[in-house]
Amino acid sequence: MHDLLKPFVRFFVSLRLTVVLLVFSILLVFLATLDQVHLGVWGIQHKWFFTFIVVQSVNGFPVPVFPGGYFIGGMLLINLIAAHVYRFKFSWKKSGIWLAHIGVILLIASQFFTGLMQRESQVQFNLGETKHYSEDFLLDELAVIDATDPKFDDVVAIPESLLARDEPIQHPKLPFRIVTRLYYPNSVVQMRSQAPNAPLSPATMDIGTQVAVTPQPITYKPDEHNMPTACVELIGPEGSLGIWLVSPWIEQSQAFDYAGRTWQLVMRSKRYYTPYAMTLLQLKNDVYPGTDIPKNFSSQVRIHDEAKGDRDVLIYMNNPLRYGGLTYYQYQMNKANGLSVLQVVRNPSWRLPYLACLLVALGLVIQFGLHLIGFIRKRSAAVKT
Amino acid sequence: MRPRLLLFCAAAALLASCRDERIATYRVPKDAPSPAVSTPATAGTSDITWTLPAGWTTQPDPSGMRKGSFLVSGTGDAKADMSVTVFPGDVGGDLPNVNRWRGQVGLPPIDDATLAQTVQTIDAPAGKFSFIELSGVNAAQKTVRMLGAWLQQPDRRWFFKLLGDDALVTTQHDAFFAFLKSVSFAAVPAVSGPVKAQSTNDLPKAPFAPFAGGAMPDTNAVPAPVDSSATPTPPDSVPQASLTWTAPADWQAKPLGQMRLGSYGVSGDAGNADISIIAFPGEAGGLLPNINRWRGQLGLAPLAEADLAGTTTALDGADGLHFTVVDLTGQAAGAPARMLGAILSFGGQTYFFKLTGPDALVARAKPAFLDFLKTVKAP
Repeated sequence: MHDLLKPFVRFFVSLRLTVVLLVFSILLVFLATLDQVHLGVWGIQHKWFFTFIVVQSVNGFPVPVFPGGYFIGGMLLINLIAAHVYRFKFSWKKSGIWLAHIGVILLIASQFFTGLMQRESQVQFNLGETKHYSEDFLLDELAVIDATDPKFDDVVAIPESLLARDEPIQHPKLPFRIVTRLYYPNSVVQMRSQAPNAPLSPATMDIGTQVAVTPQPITYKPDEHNMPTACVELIGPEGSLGIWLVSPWIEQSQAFDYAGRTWQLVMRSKRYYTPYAMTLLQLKNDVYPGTDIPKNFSSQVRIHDEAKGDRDVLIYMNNPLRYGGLTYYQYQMNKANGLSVLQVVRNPSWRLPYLACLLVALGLVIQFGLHLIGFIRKRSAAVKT
Repeated sequence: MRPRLLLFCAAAALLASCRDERIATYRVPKDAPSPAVSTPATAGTSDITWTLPAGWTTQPDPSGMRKGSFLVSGTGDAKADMSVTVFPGDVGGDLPNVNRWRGQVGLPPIDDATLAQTVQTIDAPAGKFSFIELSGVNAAQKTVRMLGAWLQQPDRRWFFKLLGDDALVTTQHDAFFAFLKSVSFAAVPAVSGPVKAQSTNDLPKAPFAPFAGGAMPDTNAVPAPVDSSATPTPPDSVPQASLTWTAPADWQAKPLGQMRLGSYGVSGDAGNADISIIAFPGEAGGLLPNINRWRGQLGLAPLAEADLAGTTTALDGADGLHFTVVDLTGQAAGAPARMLGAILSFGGQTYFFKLTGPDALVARAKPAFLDFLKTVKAP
């Protein structure tokens, strides 16, 4: 090995690095738990775990304060692989250790993939309603819809995070560009008659001229949802088309005609469409006889899938539906209003942790088994002598 | 090996940082209206009827919200779009709606005085329609004309709008008036409970209430959205999705409008006072910003957090409900005004009870208002 590489190799294969990284992991979890008071469970995941460096704002300046989850996890992974490659030589006697280590590596990698690919959303439907999309719990989007076709909508969905940036948004499917003139990450929108003294918004079109917007502090509470508001100006080649106020408070889309097509603007929860649709057929809220104590919640849904045909399924507590790479859990219900909410989880790597645990268990069984067999052999040999 | 690893890490970081930043495009079938929303709303299509003038054809509804959607075609590519919509309450009154329409044809807003000169009244079997005609240049730089009419019913407002090519719409005056005169309504069904709005522009979505730790979800875990229930004269004891209350005998129930759960008026020698009850999901920003919002409505300077305790009083109501009450005196619309406000957090929502009016009247109504708060009950 090249002399220059030796210090690097020694560093990455050292057990000391492992211990330091484990201590950092413990501290990371501890500090993130404390920070949960300020940011809530969603906020800290992104600030502390799904990042390489934890950045804290000090007097408005971003200051790196701690290695993030990706960094510590990544280093642990490198450390484990490097030590493994450098130190261990494969032999049948050590096959258990090999398997256990591969299991641990897979476990760390699976968490990394989960962080990258897991997505949680919800389907909220009333009895008889059919939905072919789920909605994000946290993220919103501005949907610019070409509604000219009587049967289909051509949607350009712009993430809220792009509206928050002070940059014009241009897209080949839109004959105009979108410029954000005002943006509040959380807000309350009221009819102007309810807040006559509220300042005017820059909106010049549609309902935006009739409402008052009050900015609100960003909420990180798990049971609350930020309600953003943006005023967006649409600018075509011949100039401004006007300024529209969009917000999830305004559920109805705002329509206008431009370039011979009918357009709609609506800010809504980010949607994830599926190639199949689901209809809520029935919901049940069973209680223990003679009490109001809930016993079971269930939703009977019909899946309309052109490829596989229609199918009725029952989704109830602790018995989710796995379909099309998604898992549907019974989440909330309001029987009086005929409303059911399913939580939808996409996690393509959900099998990896199970496989990792199996490998670790198998490795340990083999390793201890081999030791046990060796021990018994030695002992019986000693008894014979 | 290491450069590859670094490259992998950089790619992963890039993926992680921008995975929600992309603009998505897709083609999807149009949303079918929600059955729960459409149940009372589509009553409108059965309780309103009309006769279609010659040359008008039914067209698909681009928004899914219309009661009627028609296309009028002229020579060449001249077209006009006729829409019939209905909204609960008075949808903010005449002026904002006329100004909204004016905006659609590129005209500047007008004030109340000008409005009075521009609006005409049309007597028709269904009632007195207000009518306005506007002409201007739209966003696509085309000269357009709009014939707009609205009909106020006790609990809702109907809008009839013909918008399109200037010359074509000009020829459609008679057809438009004939259409209005052909409109008739079936008897409005008795309102037994709050009528779900067909569509309002200010319905907040239900806040999320995840159940934690594997506990069963509360059957009321998804509160009904703040809803502009449209009962023309709400009964004194209004059954709401979550709270109930009993209004004093001398409070007159008023139409609920867009966002109110309760709306009352009280009169005296000094004038009229208004009582409103609204709700927002969650904390609605918290106590201080809301009290400061109220202070702003009376022209008062905002308070600091430290001053809050000195200006609010706690009131214990029925069923263990705790109100935070403020009594503010200031100026509204250039005249002295007083406001009694109470904030209540209940069932994942924040309720705002507000009495506003002239000082003397509010002072006289204060004991009744405080007693009224004690009638607010959890379901």
